[in-house]
Formats: sequence, structure tokens, C-alpha cells
Amino acid sequence: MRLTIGVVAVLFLWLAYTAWPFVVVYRLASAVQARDVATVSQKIDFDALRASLTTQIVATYLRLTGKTGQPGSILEQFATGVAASVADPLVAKLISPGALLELLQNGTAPGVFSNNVPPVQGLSSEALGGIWRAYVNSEFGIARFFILVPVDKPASDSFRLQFCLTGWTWKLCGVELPQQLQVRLAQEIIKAEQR
Amino acid sequence: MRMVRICKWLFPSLLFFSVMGDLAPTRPPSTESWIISPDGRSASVSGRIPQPLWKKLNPVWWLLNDDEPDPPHWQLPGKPYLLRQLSWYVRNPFHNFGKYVLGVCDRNYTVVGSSPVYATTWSDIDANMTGWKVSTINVSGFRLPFIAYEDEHVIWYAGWQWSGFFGFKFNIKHSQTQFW
Repeated sequence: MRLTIGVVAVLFLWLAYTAWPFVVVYRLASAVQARDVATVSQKIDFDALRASLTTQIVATYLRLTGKTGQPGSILEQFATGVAASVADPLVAKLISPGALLELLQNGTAPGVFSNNVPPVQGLSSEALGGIWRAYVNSEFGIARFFILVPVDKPASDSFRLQFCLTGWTWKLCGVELPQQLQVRLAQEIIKAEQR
Repeated sequence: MRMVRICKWLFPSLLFFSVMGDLAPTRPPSTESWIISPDGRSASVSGRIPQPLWKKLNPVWWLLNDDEPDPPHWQLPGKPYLLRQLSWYVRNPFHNFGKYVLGVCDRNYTVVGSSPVYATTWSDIDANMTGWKVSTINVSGFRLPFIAYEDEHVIWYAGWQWSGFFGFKFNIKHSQTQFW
């Protein structure tokens, strides 16, 4: 009897832990759709997100410009440091709640792109699909949760959202951008350098 | 029977400490800066923010890696995230313990030693350099020693590195067999 209660309790805890981040993702999607900046701000770890975006944009910028050294070399570290400082003004524009809302919803952001760029389907209740589709496109770690949106697109065309559990709250702490969006953002840095 | 009794206490304790670890509020990112003397024999660090004591008393936290909690992209690429994460913690066990419990990576101090003091071993600077390297961290009235030795056959060190990390190592160069 005690064993059964123990097994049921463990199963219940596991189910609750599994369902928990999905509730946060759907709430975030609703807030993004409703353009509710206050709720979106509460669900984002801005410092971590800034680091996540900088890493990707810098890596793409270095790849496009060919300014990379041997992996792990001092030259590579130096190039990464320089590129991070070059990318900083652009990332700063992306990190405001309003700009992030645009970025997550349709892959654009006011004042970031010099030309009109076609929108990319991002986070919305429709993009998450049903619970099962969302579950299939998700991944768990210790205090980490990942989900690909939109669920019906290949991984390279999707946003990979990373949520971190801190202080009993799941927060968006990283966004892996679709490849075409990474390239567009890196191209904006190159254009800014040429001006 | 004894094993069952141990497990009965071990699993709830691990769960308890894991939950307590996650209750921790996010620590503001520290912006440390170093001032190195012109002769390279001393360096002072400032701007570090101490880790809270109750985190340091959490044995689950000792095993984790607060500075790089997510595995880098080269750690088992393509494998499930949970596996990558676990293997990352196994690869660098007791990271927080070495840095913040025994180590003083969250404290501001001055370190004095063989120039350049900001290198742990001679091979960090030049593959051909060998010999003894020592330093001492002066923090809150304590003197924390570090000693390293390197020649063409071995490299070993023990104590508090210039960065504040406590660790020890003993490697035989060009050998498949390593002790630590």
C-alpha cells in the first residue's frame, strides 16, 4: 500500500513537472498575441536572453565575414570579443520588451532592419498547435525546457525557445533564432560597419 | 535492508536540497576587474559578489556549475539535452565546490607570486617553460597557498589558483594514464 502511494506520488510529481512549463509557454504565447508587454516582461530573463542573442548573432557575423580563427585559439577569442562589441548596439535594440514582442511574433523589430524584411511566423497559440504537437517538439533538462515554434516547420526555420527554472518560476532565458533571421541580423551589423 | 534504509533518506534529501537550490533568487551578475602590477608579481580583483552562505551549505549545489550551467555546443552534439547536461556535470564535477565553497572565486583579494601571477602553470604561457610556480592569495586575513611544478615528464599543482579556484592535478605528460 505504501509502495503504491509512493509510486502514485512520484508519477503525479513527474506529470506536474512536465505540464508546468507548457502552461508558461501557452501564457507567454497569449501575452505575445495580445501584445501584453507587462506580462511578457515578467516571463523573460533579459540578461540571459541578451547573452543568448549575442552569441548567435556574433557567430553568424563571424561566419559571414570569415573573421574566424582556429576554434579555441586566442585569435578566435579576440574576434569574438570584437564582434560582440560591434553587435552590442543591435542587441540592445532587440532587448526592449516591445522589440522582443515583435521579434518573437514575426521575426522583425522596429529600428533594427534597414530594409523591409518579410515576416517570419513566430510564437502564437496557433504556432504551438495542440498539446501533443507541442510536447513532441519539446525537450526537458534539469531546470531547463526547450520548445520549437512553429511546430509544423523544420528546425532551421523555427524559433527554439529555452526556458530556465529559477526561484520557482519558468522564464524565457534563450531564443535560438531561425537561420535566415540570424543571417539578416548579422547582415545589419555588416551594413552598419560599412556606413 | 541497509541499502533500502540509506535510499529512504538519500532520495528525499537530494530532492530537498535540489528544491532548496532552485529557490535561490538570481544573483546579480558580477563585473569583476583585475589590476595587475607592472612586474606581474601581484594582482588585485574587485567587483565580485559573494555567493550566499545557504547556497554554499547545499551539497547538491556543490556538484553544479553556476558559471556555465548549460553544456557547450561541442558537448555530445545531437544527443538529448538531458544527457548532454548530465555528462557536462560529470565532466566538471564539484565545479561550484571548487570555486565557491573551498575556493574564493566570489571574494575580492590580492594575489602575490611568481610572475606572471595570472598564469596557473608555466605551460599556460610557453610550452617550453618548466619549474616551480608559487603564489599566495591574501583574503580576509587568511593566506591561501598555491604551488605548481612542471618539467618535461610531469605537471602537477595543488592549492588556490590565482583566480581563487581550489584544485589539484597530477598529469604525466604524453601518457594515456592520468591520475587526476
